[in-house]
Amino acid sequence: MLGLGLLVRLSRQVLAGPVADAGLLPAGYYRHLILEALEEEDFPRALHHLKWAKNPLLAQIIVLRLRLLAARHRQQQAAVQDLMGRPDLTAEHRERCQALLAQETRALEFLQDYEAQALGHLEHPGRQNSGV
Amino acid sequence: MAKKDLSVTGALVGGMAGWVAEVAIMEVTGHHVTTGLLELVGAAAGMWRLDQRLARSLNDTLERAKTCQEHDYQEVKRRIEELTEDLPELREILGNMVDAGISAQQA
Repeated sequence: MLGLGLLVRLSRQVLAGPVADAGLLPAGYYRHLILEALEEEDFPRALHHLKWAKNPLLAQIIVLRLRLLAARHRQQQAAVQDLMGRPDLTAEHRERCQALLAQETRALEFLQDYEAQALGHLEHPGRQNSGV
Repeated sequence: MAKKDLSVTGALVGGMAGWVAEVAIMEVTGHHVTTGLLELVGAAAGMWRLDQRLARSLNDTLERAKTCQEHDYQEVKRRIEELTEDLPELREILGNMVDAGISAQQA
């Protein structure tokens, strides 16, 4: 069984590397890779394989996940902004809030970029990714 | 999910993986131990796993649509409809899943 495990692991490493990135494998394999990436919330990886999956439903799931995540970040952004409006806030805390706000803004920019890419796949299936 | 979507390619890949495993076992042990069993297991696993994984992903997405401890399915449905206006296929599937949840809650 040890030999079998090694064989499976070796095959996966080969398939997940150059062979998979060349788009040579069946669409079902890429669907597995996308779902695996989604389970790990790895959106760039999911988007990378999307062009070979030939499945608009997966692109739609990615878009919705990104929108849900963006909504959460917007809530956090609003909470930090509320906190910054408090008059009793020290300069140190205000600085931390600014840093947090910058991070949230950056995260939202990333999520919007990913969403645009996923929507691009829905409009033009099979198109090459540009930014991922 | 509206329908079960079996993967024929998945079955072929699974079958092929099973065959490779069987050949490897035969090469290492020198015996023909599995007599085609691994091909069958691989084919069956390949056929079912994708479908199950997709269903799990949809369930997971639905869970994420609930905010905090929210258990009001009508509110979840409204939120999903709002976010999936331009995603018709997903909107229908998740709508059906939420409707099933509402029916279960009422029963």
